[in-house]
Amino acid sequence: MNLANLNGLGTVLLVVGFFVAFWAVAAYVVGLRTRNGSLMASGRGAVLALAFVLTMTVLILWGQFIGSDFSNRYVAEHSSTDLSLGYKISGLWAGNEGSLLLWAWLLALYAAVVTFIRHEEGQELLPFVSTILSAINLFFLFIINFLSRPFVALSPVPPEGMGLNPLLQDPGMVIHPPMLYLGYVGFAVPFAFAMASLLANQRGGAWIKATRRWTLVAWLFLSIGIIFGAEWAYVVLGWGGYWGWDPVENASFLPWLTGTAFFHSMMIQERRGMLKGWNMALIIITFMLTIFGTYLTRSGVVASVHAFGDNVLGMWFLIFMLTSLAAALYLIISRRHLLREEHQFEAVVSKESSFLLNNLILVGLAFAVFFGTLYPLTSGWLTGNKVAVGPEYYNAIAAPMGTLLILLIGICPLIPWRRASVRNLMENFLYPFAVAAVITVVLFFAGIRKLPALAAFGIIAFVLATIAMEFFRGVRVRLKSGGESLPTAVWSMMSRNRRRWGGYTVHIAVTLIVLGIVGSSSYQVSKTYTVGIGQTMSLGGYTLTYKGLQQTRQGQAEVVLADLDVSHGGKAVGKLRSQKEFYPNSEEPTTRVGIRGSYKEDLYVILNGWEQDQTANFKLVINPLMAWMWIGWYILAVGTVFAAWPAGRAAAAVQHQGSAAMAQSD
Amino acid sequence: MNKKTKVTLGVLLIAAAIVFLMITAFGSSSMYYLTVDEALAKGGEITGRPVRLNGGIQRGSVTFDIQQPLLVFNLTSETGSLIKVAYRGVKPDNMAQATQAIVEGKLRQDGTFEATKLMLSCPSKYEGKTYEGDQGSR
Repeated sequence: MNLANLNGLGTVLLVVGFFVAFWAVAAYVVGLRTRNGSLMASGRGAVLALAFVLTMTVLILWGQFIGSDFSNRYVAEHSSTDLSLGYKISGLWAGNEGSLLLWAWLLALYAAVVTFIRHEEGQELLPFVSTILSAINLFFLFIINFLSRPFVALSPVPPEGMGLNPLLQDPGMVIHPPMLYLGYVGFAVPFAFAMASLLANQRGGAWIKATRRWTLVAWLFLSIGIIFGAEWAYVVLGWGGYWGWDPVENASFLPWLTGTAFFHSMMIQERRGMLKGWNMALIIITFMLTIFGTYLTRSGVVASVHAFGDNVLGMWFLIFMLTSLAAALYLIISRRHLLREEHQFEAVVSKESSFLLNNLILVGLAFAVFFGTLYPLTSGWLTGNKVAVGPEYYNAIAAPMGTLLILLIGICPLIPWRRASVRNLMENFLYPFAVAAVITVVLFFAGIRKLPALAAFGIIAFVLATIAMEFFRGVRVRLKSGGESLPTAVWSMMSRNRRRWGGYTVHIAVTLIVLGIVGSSSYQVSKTYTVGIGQTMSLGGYTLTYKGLQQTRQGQAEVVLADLDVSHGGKAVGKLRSQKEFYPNSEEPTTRVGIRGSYKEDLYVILNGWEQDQTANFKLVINPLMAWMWIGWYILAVGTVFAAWPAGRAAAAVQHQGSAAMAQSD
Repeated sequence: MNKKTKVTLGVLLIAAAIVFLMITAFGSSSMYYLTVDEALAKGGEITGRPVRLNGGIQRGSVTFDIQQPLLVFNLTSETGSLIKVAYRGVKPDNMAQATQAIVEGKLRQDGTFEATKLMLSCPSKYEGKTYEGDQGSR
């Protein structure tokens, strides 16, 4: 195979893709207006063709990476012959051009799946949905064809590439971009359905029912993407933390916040026909934020350690965002008669109102984060002085809002629809409240005196108790009626209503994540030492003995590692290794911290530097309860998949009956 | 008052709480975001106040004392002026590669900058080393 032709082939495919996307949009638009079935069918074919064309394109680029084809400038800039296979593959999204191609490809795949699978609800909306998704892809293909090209030829062909940035040679950094993109791109689907619903003049909430699973899928991937970013920051950036409220971090968090709000307020529209306009606005905002996140990362508009400047690209993204926003707003305003509420709020304390509160907190937090992230820009325009806010701003707002949100997680699922009475509040909350009060008192006497942390722990205990009580009650009913063993009872109870029990699982997960956050932020301690071989360092009951340095080779890197013996309370508990990795294409090393984690806390050691005589400087950090954050994320993923999994037919019938009964009763 | 009014009031209350939080959080953590030239121009006005400086790292000016630890380097502006920065902390891994730095801290009376936070511009995911030649896509 003549490698030099691959660049040409790739370029041709991208041009073809652009025209196919254009055809898809044109065929659908004309077909819909003139009710021409064969034109619309042609549009459908184009959606599939686009997915095929972009898959071929991506395979070619991957082939160039794996084959180390340095005639492609992009490959030469992000790969080298001695890179391991996994990192050659991840090189596809190591840079701007490939990342945008990845976006377009994933969008095309999503569009093909949406267009061709059978939907229980909203089938009639599909032509509109496909049009919108193809139109979005048209924008990305425009960028990829004209501004940020992945198949630029390099001549003469260099014998060796520049290699992958060492900071990216980490499993977390391999997964983080595709997961984030699957999340970002995934939110285009509910957005398209929402707009389709307006375009098709639908009054009902078919679009809500049709997009529930898509929203869950997008949210799941976004969550996974965010956590891998945090894990990378924790282990590789090595400053003791996992989140810096950096503008690009915030950019991924914003759609997560509004997406979570949307997912909850969707349920209100589904059950009670309320908040229709709010849901429209929320999904539009979420979609805009996913584009905004991409824009922020690529335009350098807010200086950030992550953002990289390319102002032309930024300008086009801005144009795209403003145009789509204007179109969406026009649709909402011209079709606002479709969005009239079917019911009103009947009581101040009801499931509807607690969902509304949940939304307000999430959207309010998103607004505060958005405002803070853009403040250097806006203050520059308004006052001439650029003012920035530090992490203290974000933490000061996120902490109380987060605490309130966790409290809602405990309360909200147990409040009935429409109206709550004092009696049912008492029934549901007395035991958990008692448990939480006892735990709070115990913690206080055990030495937890920081009031915000104590309150947070108490609330976490309350929430876990309410959810445990729900599980307990449900299982007890099942055990009484059938001859099932306990595990079977739990499983069959959960399978009969995946939405509910999957949701409870995710709630447990979020509560555990907050537990990890509260512990590690409120009670973190750290200390820096400079020690010679054989000397000891101590922090928080741990004593570490520095055994010396070793130099070895791991993959591409020369690694200098420090070995430490760890003992706790006088007893030897194990070893720790903290290292610095030197890559051939980088003058400075990357860090890999040594972590000894337990359920109680993380002992975290950074090797800062060393002298010729092996005197070394270490920073020791103890992050209490850190493990719970990672545990929580695993549970979150499992719970979300469980909640989204299609129910078996028997279970679906029960679910239907259950929700109908719920809507009728109280 | 009817239900709708109550709900609206509740909404406004939450919104007000958030705005209040934002304002108070702002006051305690906002800082001037300046380039080296702007900081030198403002001089005494910003001495002792929280400032975030953005500038280039002067090649060859970086020294690191592992014992303290203390990192010292010169932060430069495009016009060539510079401010000496002292940072009590870990020398970041990519210090030699990095060309730009963002430091947070305070300007001292003697004109040096005492940094409590140091961030280096990340050698790219998306940029950084490129090949000269076809600059078509940039």
